[in-house]
Amino acid sequence: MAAVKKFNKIKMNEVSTMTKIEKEMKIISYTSKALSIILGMLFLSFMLGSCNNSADDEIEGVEEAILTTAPNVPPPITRTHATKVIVNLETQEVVKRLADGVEYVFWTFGGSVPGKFIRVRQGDLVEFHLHNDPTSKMPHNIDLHAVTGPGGGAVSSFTAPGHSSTFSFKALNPGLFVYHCATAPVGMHIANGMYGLILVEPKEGLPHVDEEYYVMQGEFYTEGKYGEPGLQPFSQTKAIDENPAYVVFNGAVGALVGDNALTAKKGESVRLYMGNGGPNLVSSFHVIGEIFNNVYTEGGTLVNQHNVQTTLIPSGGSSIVEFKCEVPGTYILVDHSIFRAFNKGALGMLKVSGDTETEIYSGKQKDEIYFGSENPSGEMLKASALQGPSQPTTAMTKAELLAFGKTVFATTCQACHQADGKGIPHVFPPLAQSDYLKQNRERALAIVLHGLQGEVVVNGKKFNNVMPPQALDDNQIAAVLSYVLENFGNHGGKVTPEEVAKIRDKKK
Amino acid sequence: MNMIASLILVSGLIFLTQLSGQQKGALPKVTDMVLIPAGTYTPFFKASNNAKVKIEAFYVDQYPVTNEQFLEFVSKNPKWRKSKVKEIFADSNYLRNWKSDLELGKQVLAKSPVTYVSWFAAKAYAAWIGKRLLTVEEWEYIGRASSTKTDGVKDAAYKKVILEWYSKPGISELQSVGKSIPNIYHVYDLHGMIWEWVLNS
Repeated sequence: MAAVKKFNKIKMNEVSTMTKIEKEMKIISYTSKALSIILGMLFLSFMLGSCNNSADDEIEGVEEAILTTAPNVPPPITRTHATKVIVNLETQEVVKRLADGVEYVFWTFGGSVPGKFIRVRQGDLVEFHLHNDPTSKMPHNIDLHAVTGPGGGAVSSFTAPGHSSTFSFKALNPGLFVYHCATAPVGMHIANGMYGLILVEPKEGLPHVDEEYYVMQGEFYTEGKYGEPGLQPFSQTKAIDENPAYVVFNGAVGALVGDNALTAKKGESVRLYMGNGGPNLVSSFHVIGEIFNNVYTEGGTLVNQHNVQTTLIPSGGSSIVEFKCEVPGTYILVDHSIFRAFNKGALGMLKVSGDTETEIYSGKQKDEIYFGSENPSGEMLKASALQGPSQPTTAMTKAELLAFGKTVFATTCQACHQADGKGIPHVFPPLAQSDYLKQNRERALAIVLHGLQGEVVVNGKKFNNVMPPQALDDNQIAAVLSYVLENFGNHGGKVTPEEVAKIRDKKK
Repeated sequence: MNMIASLILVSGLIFLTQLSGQQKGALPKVTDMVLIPAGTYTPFFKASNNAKVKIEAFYVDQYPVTNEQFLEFVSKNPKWRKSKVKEIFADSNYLRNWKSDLELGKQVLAKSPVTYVSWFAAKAYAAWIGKRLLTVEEWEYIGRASSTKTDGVKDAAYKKVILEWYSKPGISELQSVGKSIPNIYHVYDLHGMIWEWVLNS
């Protein structure tokens, strides 16, 4: 068996492009890893002082790691000793849904984006088996940020399609670490979804919480715009410009909404293992309506901040956030670089079930009209520039009056009642052939002057909405109402400014 | 799954180059080779001194070696049959998409590139037919040529075609050789098919 393995290695070396890539990788990884080792050492000496030396832990027993697909997290580790943990992870290139009607060829660790969640304990010896599916077009490898060693495992795990690689590392540093493919072109491998999280639990474990979830942000650079249907190819140009069509949680638009939302019960504590695969963007992670009680900034082991609204997650980095669900309802997870949330997909949900909790949050207690601080009673506002200049209507010909009325209608009424006066079914009542208008002309004038709120029946259909009082003067109201009465199949009629003034005064 | 895997796996087709000065009379029928003129290029993975690579003129097959051609090889060289090959020269994937030692089976196209070949087997085939595998430098020299330019590296459209291939899902069957757009030297299928063995590392 050993002979066979050695032989495989010889074969691999014959493909010179591979070895050259490896060499290239080595240079990059040596530099970056050296830096992180130095930082790691500084961190250890300053922060922990009396840290146990994980390298000396005795390894007892062997176990196969439980790997989970997002948003699930493997159970906490209850072991109190280091062990040998065997991880089997397969790289697969698969076609999956990116958004409704949009597909993408994802390159994955384990068949979905993000890759499988790996959970080990500080001091464990991890024997990593990376398998590359025979149908893959590309070689792949893995750089685990939890590895202390050149390339984070990248060089040792370089694997051609239909082959497997094995390497081992000791999990010296606890924390939440990103892993990703580091095969050239690295950016394309990551942009296609090759990232995931590995949690190295500290020896003492993490404090108990009721729910743990795995969420990872990443962006996708498709040739087509957001929502453009079909199988979308990767756009190198957009990737270089850092201009993604999609920014998503867990690999697709809507991966964490509706039936796929995260769930918790009122009173429960929740821990989110948040990663950011990038490849380019930094996440401003925020949960609308929650405040993070604890944040392990950048996925380290120190709870170094409490009461956080929004936490930064670097590309190729992570964060652990904890909060308690005091009030039931739906909480929206967003990248608070907010156009990404509402226009590119970076939006998820946490649904908290349980009895209403009005002590902390009342819900909506009142809904009423606000006329502005200078006009509390809803009296006429000064005609604003929006409505256009007013003109005396008394001396106008009928044609002039209707033309003026049409202008006022276009700027004031049309947005709701529509250009054809037919309104919008169930929402805005029609002015066209309106029995309501015909029944009572004074009432119509009063509505324009003072607004209307509540249920009305127009042409047999119920409407229940709010029309604010209009900031129009007497001439404008006379003109616009004359225009409405003379158009849209209505019965005709002329309204004078005096008539309007009379109703305005009457109300006073 | 196995069927799909079998057709796309690595260890793919072979391009051969003409050995000069060998007894050509003894060669099997030599067809479909083109002459590649001598030249220089800067490799993608640059040397530390940024040196250019110099290439002598050589003849190369226009098409990758097909299943049909390789079948002829194993039928005349029993030691390279699936059941006979030594473990040290080919792993358990060797010709795994073939039905048996001397049958391709219905799923395997006679004219598509032979896959699941070990490097040793590829090298042996080349020697049998009086040629050799391309060196990596020779491969890159012709691989970087687009249909209109010897240096396709600066050709954005050419790069796009190659990148787009990676954006498409893996296919269940490799098509027959010679159906792609040839490069400027009239060599086919250097991209968009499968990995290829080269002589050196």
